[in-house]
Amino acid sequence: MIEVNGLRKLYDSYLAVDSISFSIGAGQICGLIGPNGAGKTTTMRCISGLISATSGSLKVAECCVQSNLKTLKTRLAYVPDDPPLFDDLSVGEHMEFIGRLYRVPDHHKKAINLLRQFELLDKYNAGATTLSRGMRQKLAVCCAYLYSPSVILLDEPLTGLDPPAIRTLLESVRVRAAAGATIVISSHLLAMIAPICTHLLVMQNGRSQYFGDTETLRTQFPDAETLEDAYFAATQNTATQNTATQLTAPQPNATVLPQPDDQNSGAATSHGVPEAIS
Amino acid sequence: MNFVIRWLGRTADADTNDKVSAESRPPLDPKWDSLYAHRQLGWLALKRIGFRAKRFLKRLRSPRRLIATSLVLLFFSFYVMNGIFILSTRAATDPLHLRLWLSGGMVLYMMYHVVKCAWSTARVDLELSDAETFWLGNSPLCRSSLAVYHVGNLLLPAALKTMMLSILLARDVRYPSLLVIGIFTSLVLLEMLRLTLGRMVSGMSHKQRGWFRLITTCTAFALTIQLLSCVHSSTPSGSPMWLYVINSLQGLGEVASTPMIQFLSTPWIAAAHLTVTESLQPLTALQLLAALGMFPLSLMLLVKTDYWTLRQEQKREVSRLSDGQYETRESQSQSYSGLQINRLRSAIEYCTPESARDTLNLIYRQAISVRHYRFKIAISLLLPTMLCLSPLFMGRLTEQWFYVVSGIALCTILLAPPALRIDFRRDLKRMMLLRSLPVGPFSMVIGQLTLPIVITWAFQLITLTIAASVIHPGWDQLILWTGMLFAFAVVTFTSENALFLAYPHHQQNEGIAMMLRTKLTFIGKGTVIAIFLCLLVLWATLCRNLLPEPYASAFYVSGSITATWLAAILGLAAATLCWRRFDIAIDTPPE
Repeated sequence: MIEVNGLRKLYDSYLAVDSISFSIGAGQICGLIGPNGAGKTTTMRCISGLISATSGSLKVAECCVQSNLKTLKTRLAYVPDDPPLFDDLSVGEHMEFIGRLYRVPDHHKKAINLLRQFELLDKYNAGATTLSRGMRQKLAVCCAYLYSPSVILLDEPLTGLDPPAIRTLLESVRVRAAAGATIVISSHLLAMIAPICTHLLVMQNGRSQYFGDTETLRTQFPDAETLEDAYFAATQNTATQNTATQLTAPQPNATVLPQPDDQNSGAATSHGVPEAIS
Repeated sequence: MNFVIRWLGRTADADTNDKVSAESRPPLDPKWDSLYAHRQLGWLALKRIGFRAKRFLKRLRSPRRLIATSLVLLFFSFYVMNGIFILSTRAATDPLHLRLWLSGGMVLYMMYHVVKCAWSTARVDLELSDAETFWLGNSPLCRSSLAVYHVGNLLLPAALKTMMLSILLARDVRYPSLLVIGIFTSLVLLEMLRLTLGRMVSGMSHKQRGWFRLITTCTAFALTIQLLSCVHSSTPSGSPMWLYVINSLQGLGEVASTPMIQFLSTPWIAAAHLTVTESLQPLTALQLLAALGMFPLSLMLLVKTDYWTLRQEQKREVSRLSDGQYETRESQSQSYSGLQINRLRSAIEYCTPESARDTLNLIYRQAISVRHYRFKIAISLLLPTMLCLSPLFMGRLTEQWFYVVSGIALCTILLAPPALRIDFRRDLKRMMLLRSLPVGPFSMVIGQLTLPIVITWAFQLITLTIAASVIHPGWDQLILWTGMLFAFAVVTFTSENALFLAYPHHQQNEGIAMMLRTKLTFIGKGTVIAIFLCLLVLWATLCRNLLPEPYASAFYVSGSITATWLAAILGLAAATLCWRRFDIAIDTPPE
């Protein structure tokens, strides 16, 4: 689970994220959407503990981000947009390093399975510099899945992926959420992530414009035919001004909703998903 | 190495089985990771070193790098032969002096880094690469482990430097093995303290940094005054310039031996004593322990400093937030001066012929960088100017002009290229972008190199004008040297960039390849200057012997200037060829 309360982040003298609050439960998938520079990546990095929040409280995977960072990092995976790889390691060595560092039992076998799932097995001995943008993205996702984290943050994971890989990734996200993982997925391809998202967090100019389940967003904007139209309506200034009070006010559906897969989450361990899917 | 990697792997797997019991134990200090984590980092480091070693050997055999490989092998052979057959026959240095120079020399080098850190605006964060920041920063490792990992990466370059220095100093000591240990520990300690200092400066507030700048600059100034007074007292007035140069090196040794510098060199004292050991005694063992003990101590200092910096940065962030000292996206968009930028762009396009617009746009882009780094550039060129003008205070008028001009030439070839990296060298990560621009190779080279060359010309012209106004060497001399030095600046930057494009490297690269590259480039530049001077003397002799006096001077001046400008054009052609030949897929080195 992720509980963010009043998150604010200042870069030098620029306020990148301003008073963001939301809560996502186990087994839920939250789509983090918003225009470029909205503060999505900063929010994700604060949640992952990669950068420290200036103010606000963050509780992720039952760990306080500020005080229990090391434990948190064993339970959380963050995959950035265009992940930087070690130029002097091969695909297999990346997986092996993560397996060792996170003490994953039988990590070699799991690595092979994941690489096969994402069609990277033939690149096992290939150097990182020989990989395309999409392959790098897939390798980072495989590394993230290897230690079965209970919280997964995916920043623009679909960029550079081919259609089969997109399908594989989205399916894997759905499976992991069903097994109890909490997933935040940031993307501009709203039409692609919408079917798997249970919640949406719409950000603009560092602020939250909307947080709640996908259906409520549609009902907020009855004129919108699709979720994408509703997103545009939420991020347009006029719409924002008109509905600011309405959107930022606490909503009955903005808290965690019971999900169809909730019964599965009981099978998950408190800090990780079951071994069967990893 | 494979054995070590296998050993690390085996123990890692064994430890995996003990995961539960290991995690159930409370950590002694939450800031330090278990040995297990360090073994995994060791595994990573060895894998990376293995890859790099293989790549290095592969590159040595590559026909594309045949010239560089030959030069490297030649250099190594000469260096080792020189150490065995020539340096070993010289008189040994007094051990006391050697010890004082070693420990004090480290302090003087540290002072250089202190001043550099104080004036640097870059935020230093353990000097990790993007991949290290992501993979290691995101993993369940303490910051201390990242520091240990980084320090571990410093060991190989330090070992290589130790090897080179040990060959030089082997004649002066009785126990070469202790010399190696002493130099190695000193160099690693220097690197760790430099890193600690950089991290500490990053944590300072604006006010603290201001004070730090003042104190360090005043200290550096005082040391310079001390050095100058040493040189002045040891050199009779009116001595030739070369005597000043030799005495300044001795003066550096004297400054390094002063009580205050020796007091500051406390961390290096044990290593320095160890280096010049004359007989093995129980004290030697203590010195060895003390020298090696500096590693964990300096590592703890680095970790403490890192935590202090993180806390300070966090405190200041919170303070700025609570005081409302920040901008939001809305306030930034309100302050956007789009109209001004468009006017400037229009003015530039209006004044430029169609054919030169590509080049001018590239120069415009460089000008923005120059404006950003203007103070740094000004300071880095102010010191060479003062150095070049120093012969004006020596008294011997006949040699002053020669030394000023020589100084300018040396600064042009040795100091200007590292000070003005606003050319291809800073764009290695943007080569794809540069390649994709609809700009021809020649225009690209001109656009990338114009500003650093123009700035060097400004430095040359100012220095020459000041010197000429004091010495009055005559118009012919002024025209000759201005014309030649201008061309020399073009030769310097075009050849530097051609070399970079032929054998590119990342700015932060370290290791044997970089060390050899630096040394070979230095030797190459020295050779160019020597050949240049020989040709000039030859040309002057020819003109004087073959032509009557009124024409000899004119021929000498015009011929010299023409020849150097021809070399400049050749350099430009070489840089253009290298840019045309540059292959992003093959030539871009891994980070």
